[in-house]
Amino acid sequence: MTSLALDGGSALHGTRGAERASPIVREMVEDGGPTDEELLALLETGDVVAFGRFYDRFHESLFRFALRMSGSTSVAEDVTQEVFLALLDRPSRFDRARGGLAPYLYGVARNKLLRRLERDRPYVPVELAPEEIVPASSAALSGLIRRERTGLVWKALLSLPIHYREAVVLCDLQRLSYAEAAASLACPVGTVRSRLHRGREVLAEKLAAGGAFGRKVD
Amino acid sequence: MKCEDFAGIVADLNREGVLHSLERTRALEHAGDCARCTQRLEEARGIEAALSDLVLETDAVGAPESVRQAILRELGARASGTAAASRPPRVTERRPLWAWATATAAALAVTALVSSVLLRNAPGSSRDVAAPTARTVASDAAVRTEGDGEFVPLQYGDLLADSDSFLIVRVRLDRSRLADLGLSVVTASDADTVPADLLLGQDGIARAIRLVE
Repeated sequence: MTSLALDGGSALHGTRGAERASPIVREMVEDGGPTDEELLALLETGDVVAFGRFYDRFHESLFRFALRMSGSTSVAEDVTQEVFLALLDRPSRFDRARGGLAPYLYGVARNKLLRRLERDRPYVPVELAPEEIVPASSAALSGLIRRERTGLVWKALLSLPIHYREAVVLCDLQRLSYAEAAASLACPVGTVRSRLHRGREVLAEKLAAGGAFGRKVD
Repeated sequence: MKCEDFAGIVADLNREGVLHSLERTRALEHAGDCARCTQRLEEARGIEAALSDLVLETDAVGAPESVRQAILRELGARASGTAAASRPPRVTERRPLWAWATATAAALAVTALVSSVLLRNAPGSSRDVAAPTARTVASDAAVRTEGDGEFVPLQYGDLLADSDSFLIVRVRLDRSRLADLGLSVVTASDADTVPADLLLGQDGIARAIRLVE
């Protein structure tokens, strides 16, 4: 282990009453259960049942965020695990006044992810990452074409500069509102919008160059 | 509406709650009269369709149960006190972690009673999570943190920020390895290896090193 280690060298609302939050956040928090604060309080007492509920509420969204950002299921699994451990270890770091729990968790995931991507950058060719996902679609031609196009889209997405990529992933894939994305990224809403705008432009250029727009799927 | 205004909002045309319906109508009317903005609109729709496919594709991939189990194992390991006991002194202590660890240990114990077979297989099928590693190294190196040297970071960035817990592991390293790390060692000993303390994050990655006098 030692040698390996050396070589490796806003608009957000709480659980209930989240009517102004984005659909994904509403889905994450509106399960009729305790509020964010109530859940956190239970977690701090060591309530394992609360942990299960907390995990069920957030883990899929966090996992998919990490997956879409990294293109790697193993990275997504590790990041998801680290986010939960970080919150359980230091729940007091969450400041309700600075936004809801979901953007906070996205922010932690983002920080973990950036650190991981930076660490793995010399070793993991990013263009290979999407192939780790094996879609469960049929062998029908339309499915194959769609899968091929999706692969091109993901490849182009992963090649975006990270600040564009995270804006596109949060706003267009995770469907966060601008305010939620801004809270997650700890930047102004205007910055999110400009990064998203530019990110989509670059993405369109890459897709056009790669021929992804040249094939009609439907 | 001007073309530059349209370009600024084209990505928001299908985004819920961003544009007023009147603004959206005006934008679409402008696109109908402007070839350039029609192209912008088609491009935006193409991007949205492409990203929608990616969403569908990745929505089919979920976090495996092993992630939840890894978290529970980590909490169980903390219940044993190994990780908390070996935390470096500069990490701010605050936490209610004892409660968590105790409750998780109890949960794991109950699980063990009803799922003994599953638990017997768990270590062999688990991913390289921190918990088993932490137990292993802690039993060997435990809490020998009395070394009075300063830790030298092995990575760029904040040594302790946003990390959850740490282990200090005493090892013996080749002098050549220390040189690779940019550390020069001058001692009276002729030994090929030098004792050192490694500060490991819970991901198993060494964050800092200090030489033991």
